[in-house]
Amino acid sequence: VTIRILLFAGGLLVSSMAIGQARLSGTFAQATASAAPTLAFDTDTVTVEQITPGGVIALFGVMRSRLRHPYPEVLRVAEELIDDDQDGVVSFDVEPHVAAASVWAAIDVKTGAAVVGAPKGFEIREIDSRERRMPAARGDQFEVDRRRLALLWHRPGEGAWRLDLQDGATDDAEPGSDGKIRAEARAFRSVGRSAKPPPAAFRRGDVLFAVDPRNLDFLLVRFEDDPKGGR
Amino acid sequence: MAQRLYTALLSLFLAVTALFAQDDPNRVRGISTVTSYDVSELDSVNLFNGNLTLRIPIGQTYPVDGILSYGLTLYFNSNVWDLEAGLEGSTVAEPDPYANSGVGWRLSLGELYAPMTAPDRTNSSWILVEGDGTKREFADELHFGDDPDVLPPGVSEVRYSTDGSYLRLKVTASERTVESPSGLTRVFDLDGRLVRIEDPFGNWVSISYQTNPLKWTLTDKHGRVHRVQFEATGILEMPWIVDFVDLQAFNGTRAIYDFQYQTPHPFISYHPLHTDPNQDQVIQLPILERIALPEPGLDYEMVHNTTGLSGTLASLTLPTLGRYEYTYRFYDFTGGDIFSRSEGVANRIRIDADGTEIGRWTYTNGPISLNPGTTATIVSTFVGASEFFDTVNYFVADRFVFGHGLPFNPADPEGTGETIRYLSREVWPGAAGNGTALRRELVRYTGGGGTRLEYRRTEYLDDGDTFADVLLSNFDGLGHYRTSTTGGNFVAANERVTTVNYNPEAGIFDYDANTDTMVENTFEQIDASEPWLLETFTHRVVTESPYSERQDYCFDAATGYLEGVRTRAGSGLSASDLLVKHTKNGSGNTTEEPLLLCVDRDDRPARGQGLTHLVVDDSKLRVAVRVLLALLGLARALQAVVQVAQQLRDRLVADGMTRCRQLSSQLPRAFARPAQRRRRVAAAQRLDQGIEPLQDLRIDHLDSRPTAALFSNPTGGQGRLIQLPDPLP
Repeated sequence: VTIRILLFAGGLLVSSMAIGQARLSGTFAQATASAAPTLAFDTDTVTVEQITPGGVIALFGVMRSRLRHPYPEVLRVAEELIDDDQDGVVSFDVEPHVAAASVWAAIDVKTGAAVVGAPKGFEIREIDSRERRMPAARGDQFEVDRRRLALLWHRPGEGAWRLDLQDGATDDAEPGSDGKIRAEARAFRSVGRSAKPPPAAFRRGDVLFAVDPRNLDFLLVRFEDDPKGGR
Repeated sequence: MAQRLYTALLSLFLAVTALFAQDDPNRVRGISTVTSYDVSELDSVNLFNGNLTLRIPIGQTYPVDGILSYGLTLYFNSNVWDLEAGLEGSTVAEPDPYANSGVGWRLSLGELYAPMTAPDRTNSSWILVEGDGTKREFADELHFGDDPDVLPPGVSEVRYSTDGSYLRLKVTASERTVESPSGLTRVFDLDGRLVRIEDPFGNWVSISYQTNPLKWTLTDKHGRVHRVQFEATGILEMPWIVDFVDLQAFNGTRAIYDFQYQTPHPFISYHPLHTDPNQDQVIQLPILERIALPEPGLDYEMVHNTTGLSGTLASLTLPTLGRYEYTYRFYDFTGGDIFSRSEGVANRIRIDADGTEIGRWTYTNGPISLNPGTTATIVSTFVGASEFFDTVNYFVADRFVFGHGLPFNPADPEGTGETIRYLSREVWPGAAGNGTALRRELVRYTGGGGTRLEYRRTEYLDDGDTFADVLLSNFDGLGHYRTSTTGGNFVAANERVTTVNYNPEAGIFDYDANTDTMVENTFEQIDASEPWLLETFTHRVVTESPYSERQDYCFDAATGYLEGVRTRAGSGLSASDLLVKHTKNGSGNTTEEPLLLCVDRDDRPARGQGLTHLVVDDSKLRVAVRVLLALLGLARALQAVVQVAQQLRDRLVADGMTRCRQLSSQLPRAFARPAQRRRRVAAAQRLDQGIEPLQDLRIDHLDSRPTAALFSNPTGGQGRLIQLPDPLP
């Protein structure tokens, strides 16, 4: 299986770090940088630009906020946005606001081009490559050394699915409280209107975006090989 | 036993101040924040939220020179969980991210976090996390409406702490410097790690860091080297824990403090409010169970709860074999959300080495029938098996009003005008509400958010309804009331006015929170390029009619060093004034403290000596430890100098007048801060500082008591006698 960090647009971070550890092997293809959308933020709105005109965007964000309470509040946005005026721009109004501490991903559903961004002043941080892996001989599971994750799984041309995972929870395919969580394909839930059930397994070209809600560390990977083997 | 109990209790009423900072008072850790505490030698209980803070010195205090000394202290906070609102309406508990020695325990030199970089990433401003877990938040300005700072070259930001600690933060491209009012500076690297401590005289301690395995190395200017070695846990929430502390000891030897944990690292239950039903209800975390001291056979032993209110400390056995035991309960607050409960101490028990219970305190929190509609914590102090007295501590317990967590009942104020006051505390001879209270304490707070104590009155109900009070005024905007006026009805005309003229060029910042009006604002911020020395003053006057005493002080403007004190014989300068002049070396150590007595021609004793008793009672004002000691020292010296002067007068008289003139002629310049400040009136106001500096930061962040002293003090004589080797250097 090959995993590739995508190109992060918007001037936030450009990375092409290879992940070769932890049972991962194979080659790394160049991410789809040519048509990467961009993200812009204001107090209440997230705007995605440079998308395929008339296309669809899967928008996924995780926010940490103290604005409404004296304690941190974790909020998640998972939406499908349609460019119905075909201007290559879509916007989403966030309730109650766009938290300063938030991480967002926008994925062009047609092309799979993706961007990760954050409001100005918030430094995005990747989950260390050593913390994630594909379990051996499995094409339907993805494991990360985290206690909590909010995930978005996208398959170009087909749709997007999300999953909130906590260590030891019933959706954690790696049982017990052991500091690892394992996302299983069948546990994902559909995003947007399609209500299409998730595929049985990950496959080449799929994009996985995950955020640790505790500190907003993220990972964005593309399966460049078939996780079950072959290409 | 009762005497021992009273001695051990030391139930201090620490009314300290803060605005709502990073931590909500309902769940705050540490001891340097808003609210009041029940304090003993090793532990303190936050009377508002019940949090237990425990303090174990690791090694001795190492004096460097000047005002700098340092040491390591291990802290425990019983509020071991962070709570937050998770996804899908869940409540999520996470272990305290600042703990590094097992659940709840923290050995730290302090860390500084830039906005959005603290572990939970929701801090909108700079945050300093002190060794005891106290979080100090920095704002753009000291008072709302202050003029923007003129940034010195290379400085990109200047910030001020907002909790009454009066710290100034300077940010440059390569480092961040936190300045304390005493002149001490702490330098942090870009990762927020403390790398250097320095005093105004150039004395220093540096800290370097090694990763994998994590290790701290402390080095001071005398070449002493100490190490804190960590071990990896493989646990995400606490990847490194302190393995041992290796300190420089006497005569070239080393002192090793070995931290021992349960093995394997146990699974403990989450906080009870951790609500996700699909979540596994246990988490693997390190649990500290023993610290072996350098002296053979001596150790601290800890037992923690691993279920229920898990992670909390159930007992601590001292090296003397004396023991503290704790039980816990929920402290409930209004609001109905996840911060409306806090796990706090229910019972605190002290047990002697032979198993005899020598003290018991029970804490009951919540609305009380004594004053319906109010929230209070009742501390029942047991003396013997059944005899006890209750102390009722009232609080502002509404998160949505200013002053949340402050120690008073906001309803039903008494008095009017400048003596309007609110009930803060009552002491009852038995159960609260039965019979007549012995004491009542009433207070009034002011300042932004009402967080600065301005008036306190103690009523002695068992003594003919007598009372004593103190009114504080003339606030300098930098943490000091310059004037305190005591009064009462014990005897007629017992009013005493004490004025310490702190930071005279700072002007006055007088905001009345009770009427929401700015009474007077001539405050001038210290230029960012000037030294941050807030503990200096020009004179101190104590008046208790018909007597008055004045002392003039001379501090070095660059270092804050007290160069001289002149005690006036009369109202004006006189040949009979008494002078104490300090001389320091390059390291800031006092090398000479001659007493110079200016004697007038009729050879009378200095008149000021008759008022020396007035010098020492300065507890209501914020006086730095160093200055207070100087005052106390002066009081003693004044008594002695009369005798000395009689013996040395012939020699001193020869240049006595000359020296008097020299010092007095220096006053206008030497007492003043460099006159480079702006004058203006703020357009608006916010006050976020308090009467006291919480703790003197020279002590707060690194200081500890020496190992040898530990057994004679923190244990309070509890337990067995132990034989110790020579104290460490």
